[in-house]
Amino acid sequence: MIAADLSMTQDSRPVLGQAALSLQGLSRSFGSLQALSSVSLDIEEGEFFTIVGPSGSGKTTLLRILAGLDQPTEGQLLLRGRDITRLAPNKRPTAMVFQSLALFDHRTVGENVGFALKMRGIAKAKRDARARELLELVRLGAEYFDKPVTQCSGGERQRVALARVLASEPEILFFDEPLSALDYRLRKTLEVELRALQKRTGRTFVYITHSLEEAMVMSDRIGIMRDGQLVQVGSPAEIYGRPDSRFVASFMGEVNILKVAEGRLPELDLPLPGTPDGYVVLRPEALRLEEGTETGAPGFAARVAEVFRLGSRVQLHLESPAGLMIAELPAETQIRPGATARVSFAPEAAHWVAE
Amino acid sequence: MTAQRPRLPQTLRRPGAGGMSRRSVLGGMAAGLAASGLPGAALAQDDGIALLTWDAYADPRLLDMWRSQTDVPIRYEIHISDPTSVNRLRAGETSVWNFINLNNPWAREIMYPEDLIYALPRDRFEPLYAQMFEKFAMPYDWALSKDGENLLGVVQRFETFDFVVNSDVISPAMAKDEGWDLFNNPDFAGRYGILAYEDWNVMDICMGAGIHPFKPKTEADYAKFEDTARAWINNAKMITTDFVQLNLAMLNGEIDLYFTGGTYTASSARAEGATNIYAITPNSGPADGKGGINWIELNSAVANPAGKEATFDFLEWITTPDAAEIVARGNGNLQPVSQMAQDEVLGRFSADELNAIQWDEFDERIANAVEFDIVPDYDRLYDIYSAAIRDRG
Amino acid sequence: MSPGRTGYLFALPVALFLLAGFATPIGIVAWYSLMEPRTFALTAETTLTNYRAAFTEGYGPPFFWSITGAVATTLACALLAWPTAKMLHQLAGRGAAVLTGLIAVPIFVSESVRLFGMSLFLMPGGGILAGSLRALFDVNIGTVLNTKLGVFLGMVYVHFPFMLFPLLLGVALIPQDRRDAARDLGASRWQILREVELPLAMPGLIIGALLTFVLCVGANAEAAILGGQAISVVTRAIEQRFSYAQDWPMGAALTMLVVAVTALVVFPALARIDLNKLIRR
Repeated sequence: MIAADLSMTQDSRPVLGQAALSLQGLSRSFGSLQALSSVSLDIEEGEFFTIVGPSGSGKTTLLRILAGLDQPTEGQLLLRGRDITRLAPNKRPTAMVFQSLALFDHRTVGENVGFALKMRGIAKAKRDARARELLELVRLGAEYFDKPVTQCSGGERQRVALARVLASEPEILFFDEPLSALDYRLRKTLEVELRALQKRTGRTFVYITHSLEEAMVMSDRIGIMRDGQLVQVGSPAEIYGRPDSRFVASFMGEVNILKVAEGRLPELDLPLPGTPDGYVVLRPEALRLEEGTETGAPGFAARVAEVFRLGSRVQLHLESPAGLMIAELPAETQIRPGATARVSFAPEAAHWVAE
Repeated sequence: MTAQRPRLPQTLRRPGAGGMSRRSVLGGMAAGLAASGLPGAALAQDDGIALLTWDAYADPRLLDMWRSQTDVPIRYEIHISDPTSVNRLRAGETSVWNFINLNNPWAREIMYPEDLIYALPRDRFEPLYAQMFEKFAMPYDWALSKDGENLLGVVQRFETFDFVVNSDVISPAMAKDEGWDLFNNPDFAGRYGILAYEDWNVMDICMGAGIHPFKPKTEADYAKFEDTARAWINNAKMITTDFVQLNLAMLNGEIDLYFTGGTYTASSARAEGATNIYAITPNSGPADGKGGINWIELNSAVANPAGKEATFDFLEWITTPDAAEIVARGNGNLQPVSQMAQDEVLGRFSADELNAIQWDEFDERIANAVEFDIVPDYDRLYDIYSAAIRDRG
Repeated sequence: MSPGRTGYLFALPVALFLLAGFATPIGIVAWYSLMEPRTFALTAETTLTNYRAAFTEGYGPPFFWSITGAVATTLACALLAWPTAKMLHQLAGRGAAVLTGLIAVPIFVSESVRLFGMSLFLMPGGGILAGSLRALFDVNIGTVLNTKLGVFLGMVYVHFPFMLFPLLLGVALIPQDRRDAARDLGASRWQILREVELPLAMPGLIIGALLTFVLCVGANAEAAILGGQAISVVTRAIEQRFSYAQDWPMGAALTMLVVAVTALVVFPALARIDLNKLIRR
């Protein structure tokens, strides 16, 4: 699909069993501020890797270091085994889609897309033909070729930015939250397209976002960042199902977190035998509700404070002995605010984390 | 920048030519606008008198003394050049100014015939001439109208204006003997500067070409003038309108002499001790055997009814010893005045100051000079001169 | 009242001022340029004698030097101001204000005074530069005073701020991420300059260049004070015609030609930029 006629990639062909990108103890400080602390990670060939974290967690700093726009104060960055830590961005076979997109507003769509090829001295006819191909690839169509970038809509600009980085035939593409400024529907469409594009091209994508939901849709693997550190790396299912800290668990959405001490949940006064001290994470959909207060299987009494209908599900805010808890039930559930209920859960649904 | 002193434009040499009296009011106003860059109306009038003058008369000591003695307000503006100031009067600024002082031919040839200045009461002002040097004894033509009937002003500063040498390099005696031929001497190519007082330069080049500047020229004269103009302009190390630069260049050894120059350009440097800056008037030349040119400043009353009497008072007052002394020292520039004929005035100057104006040879310099006058066919000479300047670079 | 008419009313004082202060004098000068040489009346028959003279009587060198000097000065100022503007932009907040102030302050000193200062500095023998070098290092140097180079240095010195300040605005129009993106896409420093920075900063660059060029074409003092008339610029030729030659029509014709040359440069250049872009930042 993408013609391999560009010389830059030839010295860095994929090697079996070797990481596409290997981060080895990358740290970056700005004065007294430690923006990154010893981040180590291997990103595999052809993988869609997403780094998720709240703002200020260091993810943009990390991405800039990966792209070569910044340098780590410590650590090494290897591209297929080759140290590129100090290599200038224009010498790297990687390319980045910026959060602002950073399109060249003084140029047409075609000139933007052909920019990387022009920088390599490729003849105009050839790069124009390539730019038209790429516009087709990102579903813009060649008729956009002569349009000024400033006349494109938000979604069109996204696609131009994508076509522009693809033109440089990068081994690895970096994305710095490029979809964050778009409306929900367009974002959803582009997420799917981006994932499809990644599959089709077989390139390695490294994506950063603060939205775990976005990460879940697109990624092969996700890395969660907090305070300059990578706190958990895993597949979406692993991250979702087995968060290894309260932070990761709560970052994924609304969950219930309960303290565990001496084999019990002290806040609910419930036994949880065989569970070490720490916390358990209970997903809202893991909670079961029965109206009334009769004592049955292990459970606790709660009052329904609010009911939110979410289409396919109903979300309940419960006033429990442990404070506010959240439950999600099938849409057909009939329950009103103010009702009292007995709440229970299967012990195996409680996912334990140390901290 | 330094105000430029004596000069004489073409209009002066063709009295009555060019339709001056026919000039429309519109033309005059436009002229003023174009010449000054400022609408004339911007200059407000007040009750006192207004001087359009050279910097010597703008000395604050002089103005303060006048105010304290008369309670008449006084203000001034410094000339850019003689012709510019005459342009301004023509453009309608006679209602703005009261006093104007220009070189000797202007009053007689232009300003009085065009009704730009008043005739002065002879009984009041003629006696002032009796207190001056013999040279100015009445009837003194430059101060009188062409029919000899009317007195047009009072002479004050005067001197010869020719060239200046570094006396450490060129002996004054040799310079006086050689005269203008110094600039024809290839040895001095690249060793002299030109003070771009351009009408004076034209007269000097005439002298150097062996032509009487104030007599009609032949075709051979024009050819000789052009050769000389081109040689002198091309061989000049520098051309500037600022004589301080020329004096500094001489002290720095960049040049050894410059034209045009005289006491006006040399005296302040000499007063500060640079007595090797030496004003020269040639012993001989092509102007009736003379090589020097003598300018005389004539102070006149602008034809402005407002403040007329106060202006007459001022014209008389500046000839008093106290005022004349300040004029002679005006703004740090030493300059001989006609009142130095009186011991009471001359006695106020120290030996160093008199040395600065080369007073011991002043009579000799005046004797070796012809008086500043009209240059016939100045237009053609000036066009040759300015074309040579353009071709220089 | 419609907004459009209110707008015209608001523009009226400026329009009247421009008419009185700009259009009228130019009109008078244009009319004068059609009068017989060395006359003063505005009511005579019109003639093109002055314009013919402008092309046949050796006014070529003054025009050549004025325009060449203006072009060379504009280029030199642009070359110097570009790195300066980028540095000041990057320093923003850290001493940039002080530096900018130091560059701006001389504008408030009369140009002649500055040029005389430079003349004292460059003077041979007792000059500040030559004298200091001799006293401190026993090195004897010549001088560029009264040469074409001296004029050029003076022109660059005087006009540098007029290039720098618009260029600062221009450089501020370049977002850092565009540079990053270009670099990421393989552009070298030189390519970033040519492909991204210059086009984005173009409004500031053009305004700076226009200011510098127009001021240089009208400049006179540099050639007079530092050049010793090593070259004769067109403004001096005009001054000569108006004063010593008492030839206002010829001076007016030369003036109109300078206005024409300036307009030929200014209007096409202004058409290329969006002033709003620069101002709204």
